[in-house]
Amino acid sequence: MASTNKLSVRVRMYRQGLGDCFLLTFQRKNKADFNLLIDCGLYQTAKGKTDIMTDVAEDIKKDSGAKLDVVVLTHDHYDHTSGFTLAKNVFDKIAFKQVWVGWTEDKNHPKYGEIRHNFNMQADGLRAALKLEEMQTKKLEPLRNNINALVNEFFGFGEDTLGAVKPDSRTWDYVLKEKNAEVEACRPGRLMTFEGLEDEVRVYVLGPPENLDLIFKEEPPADLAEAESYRHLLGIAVAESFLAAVGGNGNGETSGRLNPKNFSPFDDAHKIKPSDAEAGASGDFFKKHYFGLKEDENKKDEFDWRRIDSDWLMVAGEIALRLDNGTNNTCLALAIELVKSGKVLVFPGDAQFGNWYSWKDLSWTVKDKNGEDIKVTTKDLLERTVLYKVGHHGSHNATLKTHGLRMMTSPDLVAMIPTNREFAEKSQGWEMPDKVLEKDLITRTRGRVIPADEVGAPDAKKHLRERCENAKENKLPKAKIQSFLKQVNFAGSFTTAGKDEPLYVEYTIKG
Amino acid sequence: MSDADLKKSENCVPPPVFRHLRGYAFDPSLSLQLDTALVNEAVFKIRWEKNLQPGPVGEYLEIVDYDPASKSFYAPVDLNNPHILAQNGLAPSEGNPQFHQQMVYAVAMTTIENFEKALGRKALWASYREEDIPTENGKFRKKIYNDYIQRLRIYPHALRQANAFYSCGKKALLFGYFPATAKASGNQIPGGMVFTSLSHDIIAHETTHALLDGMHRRFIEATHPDSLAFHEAFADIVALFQHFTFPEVVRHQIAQTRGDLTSENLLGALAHQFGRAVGPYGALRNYIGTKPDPADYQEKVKEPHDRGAILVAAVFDAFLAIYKNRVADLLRIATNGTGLLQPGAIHPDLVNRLANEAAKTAQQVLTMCIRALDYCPPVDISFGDYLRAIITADTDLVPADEAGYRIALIDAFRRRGIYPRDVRSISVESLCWKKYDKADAEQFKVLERIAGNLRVFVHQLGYLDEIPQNIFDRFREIFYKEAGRTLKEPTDQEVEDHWKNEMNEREKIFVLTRTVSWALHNELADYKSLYYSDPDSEEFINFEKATGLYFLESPQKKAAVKGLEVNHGKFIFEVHSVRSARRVSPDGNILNQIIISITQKRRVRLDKDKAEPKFDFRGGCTLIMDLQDLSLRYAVVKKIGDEVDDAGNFVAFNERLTRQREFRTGGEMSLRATYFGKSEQNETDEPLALLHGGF
Repeated sequence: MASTNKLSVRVRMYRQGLGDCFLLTFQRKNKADFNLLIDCGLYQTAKGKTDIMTDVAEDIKKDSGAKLDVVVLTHDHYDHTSGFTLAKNVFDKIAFKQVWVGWTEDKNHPKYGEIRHNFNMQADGLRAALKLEEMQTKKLEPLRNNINALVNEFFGFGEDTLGAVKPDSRTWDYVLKEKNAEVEACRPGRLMTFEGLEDEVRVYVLGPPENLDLIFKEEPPADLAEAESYRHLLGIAVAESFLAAVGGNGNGETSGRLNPKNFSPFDDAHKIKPSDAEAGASGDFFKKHYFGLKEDENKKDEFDWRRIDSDWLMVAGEIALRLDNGTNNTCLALAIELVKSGKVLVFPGDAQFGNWYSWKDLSWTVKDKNGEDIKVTTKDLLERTVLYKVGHHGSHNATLKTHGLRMMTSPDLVAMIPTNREFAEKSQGWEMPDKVLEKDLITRTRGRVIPADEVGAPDAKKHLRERCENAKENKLPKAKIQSFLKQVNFAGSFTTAGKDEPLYVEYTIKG
Repeated sequence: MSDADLKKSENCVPPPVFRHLRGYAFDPSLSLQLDTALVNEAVFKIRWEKNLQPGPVGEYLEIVDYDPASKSFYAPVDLNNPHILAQNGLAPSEGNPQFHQQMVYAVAMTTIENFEKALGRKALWASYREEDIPTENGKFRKKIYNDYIQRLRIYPHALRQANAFYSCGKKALLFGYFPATAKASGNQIPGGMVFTSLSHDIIAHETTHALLDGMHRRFIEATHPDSLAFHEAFADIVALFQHFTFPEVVRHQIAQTRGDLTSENLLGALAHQFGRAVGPYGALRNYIGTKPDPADYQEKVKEPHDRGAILVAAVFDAFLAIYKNRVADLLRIATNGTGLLQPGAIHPDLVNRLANEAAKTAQQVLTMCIRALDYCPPVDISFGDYLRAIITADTDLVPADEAGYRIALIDAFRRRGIYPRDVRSISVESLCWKKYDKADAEQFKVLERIAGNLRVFVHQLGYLDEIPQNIFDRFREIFYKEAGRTLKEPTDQEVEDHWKNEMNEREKIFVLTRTVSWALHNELADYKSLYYSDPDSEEFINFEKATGLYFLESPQKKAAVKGLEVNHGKFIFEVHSVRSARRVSPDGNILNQIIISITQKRRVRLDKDKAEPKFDFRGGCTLIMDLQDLSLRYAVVKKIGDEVDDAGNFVAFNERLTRQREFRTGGEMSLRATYFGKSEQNETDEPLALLHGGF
C-alpha cells in the first residue's frame, strides 16, 4: 500500500459471518505498515467455517506481509478466536510479535484463582445438568440446545470435552504459547504503545475491570437500569444451590466445591424419598395428589400435566447466560488514540455492563505537545471517538447508554457492527443487532453505520448512502456523505463456494 | 374424632366461622429484629373449610410439597389435627416444611377471600390451557383443554432459585428457595436459606396472578408495554394492601411513624427478605414514596416489574392521600386544633383510631382495585384503561364520592403520568366508560336476545340445587362428551344425580357459565337467520359499533377486518366470559350485574409490507348489564377493525394494531429472548415464569 505523509489507519472488518475479525493497518511515511489484528473468529455452528476462515487468514497474511505486530485476543469465545485454529495452516506462516490479552489470563494476578473458580463451578454444574435424566425430555429439548449453544460458545470444542475450561483451550494454547510471541496481560488503566509509533499512537486499556463484582454483573443494578442498558434483565441472584442439586443428583459428577448437604432446605428427618412417596407414604397423599393412582391407569394423564419434575431445571438456561456474560465481561477493551489528531477508536470486544461501567473511574497521565503532563479520562476518550466497534455484534446489553454511546459526541462518529443478522436470526433466533440500539447508533452517527453484513454488494455502498440520506433529523450535508463513502471500501473475495461477495469492508481514518 | 362423632357434635355446635392460623405477617427476616419480632407473628383468620384434608387440600387449594431438586417429598400438614387446631396452627418456623404448607395456605386463602368479597362471587381458576403434545415427526401439536379446575395447586418448594411464579400451564404456584448472596445486607445471614413460600407478599402476589388469570386470561399476552406490567402491578397492589389486615402490625407501624404513613415503613414495602437477599437494595419495587415523575411511565421504564411498580406507587399515593384526609380531624382533636403532634410517642388511643382508619381505607382501596377488574376490557389492557375501570366501577356503586376517593386516585395517577389516550380531560365524568341508558339499549334488539339468555343464567345461579332443565342437553354435552368422563351416554337420572351429589357450588357455576356462553354464542351467530337478512341494517351496524366487533359479513366490511375468519357469512367470535357480580356499597346500595366479554382475532401481518410473519391481533368488548332490567350499562371496547370510510374503503390501520406492530418488533426484549429466541413456544410457555429472576 502506498505510504502517505500523514499517519492514517485502515480498519478492515472481515465479513466471515457472526464473529469478530479486525485488521488495523497503521500507515506511515517511509516505514513498513504496522499491523494490529483484533480477534479472529466465526460462530461455532456456521457452515464451511474452515474454508471461510482460511480465506480470511490468507488475506491477513497477504496484506500484513505475514507479520502481525500485535494480536489482541479480547476474550475466549469461539466467535472471536476460532479462526486461529480453523486456519492454523495459514497462521503458522504468520509471525506474531506481541499478543495482548486481559489480566484475567495472568496466572500471577491475585484474582486469577477466584475468577477461574467461579467460571469452573458454573461450567461443571451445567455439564452435570445436561446429563440429568429429567433433562432428557422432549419438552426440554430447546433448553438443552440453547444451553449447548452457549456452553459451546464458551468452551468451543463440543459436548464431549465440555470440561476443557480455558485457558487451556487449543486456540489459547496456540496463540499464547506455540506462536512464541511476547505476551502482555493488560490491566485497566495501563497505557500501551506500538513499537515505532510511540509518538503517534497511544493505546488506553479500559477493561476488563479488576473488581470481580463488575465482571459477574452482566446487567446494571436496578437504580441504573434505565439509564444504562438498552434493555434490562435482572440476573439470577444465586446459582450455587441449583448447581449443588445438580451435582448431588448422582448423575453428574460432584464437583466437590458444592456439597449438596449445604443447600438442603430441611433436616433429613423431614425427607420422604420419591420412591416411598409413590409407593404410598403419608396415607397415599402423594399418590392421590401427585403421581396418580396406579389402579386407574387411564387417568394418569390427568395427573402428569401438573407435575413439576423438571421445572426447576429451567434455571440452567439463566446460569448458562450468566456464564456467557461473565466471559464477555472479561473482554480486553481498548481505546486507540491517534495522537496528532486526537481521534480515538474504541474496541470493547464484547464487554457488557460491568466492564463498560468500570471505565468511568480510569485516568491516564500523558505528555502533551510541549512535554507537559496532562490527564486523560475515559470521558475525554469517548468524546473524541470517531470509530466505535459495536460490542457483541450489536446485542442489547453490550453497549452502554449514558456511560457509553451517549458520551461519544464527536461529529465524525462512525460505527462498525460485526454481525450477521440473517445467521443470528435463522440459526439461533437472536436479534443482533438489537433494534433499539441500532436506531440509536444511526441517530448518533447520523447514518454512518457500517454493518459487516450490509446486503446487496456490489451495491452495498448504496445502502450506506441511503442510510445517511434517510436520516430523519440532523442529516449530514451531501459533501460529508460523499467523503464518508469515499473512506469505505468493500473488496476482496472468498474462494469458498457460495460466498460470492466481498471478503471485507474497510474504513480509513486520516490521523 | 371419627366422622360420625364429628357429625354428632356438629348437631349441637355449629362449625366455626374461622380457622385461626399463625404465620408471618411479612417474612421470617422481620422476626429477627427486636422491634418487629412481636408483630411479625400474625394470626390469619381464614374462612373455616369443612372438609379440609391434609395437604392442606381444600375447596380452592391443593398444597403438594415436592422438592425435585432435593429429590424429596415433605409430609402434608393436617390442620384438623387437634394438637394443631388447639394452638392456632403450627408455630412459625423456617425449618419445618409443614409450617410452610400452612403459611401458603393461610395467605392464599386470605387473598382469595379478599377477591370474593370485592367481586361478589365465587372465585374460579382459569380453565383454559394448552399443552404441547409431541407428534411423530418430532414436532409439537397444541392441544387445548377447557375443563373445570377446582383447585389451584401450590408447590411450596418447587424451585431452587430466587423466583416464584404462577404457571398458567399447570394451574399451579411454584415457589423457590435459595441461599442469600454472600454479601447479603441487613439481618440476612450470608448463605442462609430464603424461602419465597414464607413471604406473605410473594404468596399473595402469586395467588393474585392466578386469580387474575382466572378472570382475564388474555392479560398474560404481552400486547402492550402495560399488559404484563399490569399483571405484576395488580399482584403487588393486593399484596401491599393485605398488610393492613393485620391489626397489630398496623398499630405498631402507626405508632412507629407517629401516624405518618408517608415515611418509610413496613406497610408500604414489599418482600424485604427477598429484596435484601438478592441484592443490596432492600425491599423490592420501591417506587413507593418516590417523587412522581410522569416521564417514568411515559418514556423511561419498560421492564414489566418496574413499570408495574409505577402503577402500584400511584395507587399507594392515592391511599395515602385518602388516609391523610380521613385522619386530619383526629389529629386536630389530638392537638388542640394545631394538627402538629408533640414530639415523642403518640397516645395509644390515637394509635388505635389512626390504625382503624388506615385499615379501613386500605380495605376500601383494595376493594376498589379488585372490583375494577370487572370493568376492564378483555384484551390489551393499559394502565389508563385500568384507571377508567376503577373510576367507572366506583361511580357505579357509590354515586356520590363524598370522601374524595376518586379524585385522589385520578390525581395520583395523573402525577405519575398515567392517563388514558382516548379521553379529552381527566375528570370523573370523562374517565367513566361510555354509559348506556335504557333508551339506547332498546335500539338493540340483539340485546334482548342476550338478556333472555341471561335471565335463565341468573335464575339458575339462584337455584344451584336444581338441575338447569332448559339447558340440560348442553350441560350433558359439556359434562359427558367434552370432559370425556364416560364413554356411555348417561341417562337423565345419572346426569341429575351427578349434578346433585357430586358437584359443588363452584363447579355448578362453572358449568352454568360455560352453558350460557355457548347459548349466547349461538344467539349472536344465528342472529342473521333469526332476524335479518341484511347485515348492513342500521340496527345491526349500531350493535357492531357499540361492541367494536364484527358479526355479520358484508362486502362493506371487508376492508375493515382483513384477517378475521368467516364461517357461512358470520365472522368468528368468542364469548370469552360471562360473570355475575353482586355488590353492596357502603351506603347500602346494591348492585347486581352480569358482565359479558366477547372477543375476536385477526391474523395480521407483523410488518404491513411483508406477507410473513403474522400474528394474532385481538379485539373485544366487555358488556356490563344491569341485572334488574337486563339493560346495557357500559360497553368497554377494544375495536377489532381498521378505520374505514362510509363506503367501506380502507382509511387507516387500527391505532392499536399499529402500536402492537411497533411493540412486537421494536419493543422491549429480554436478554433471554435475545438468546433463546422469540419462538411461539417461548411466548406462550409460562409467560410469568421468566419475566426475571424475581417474582
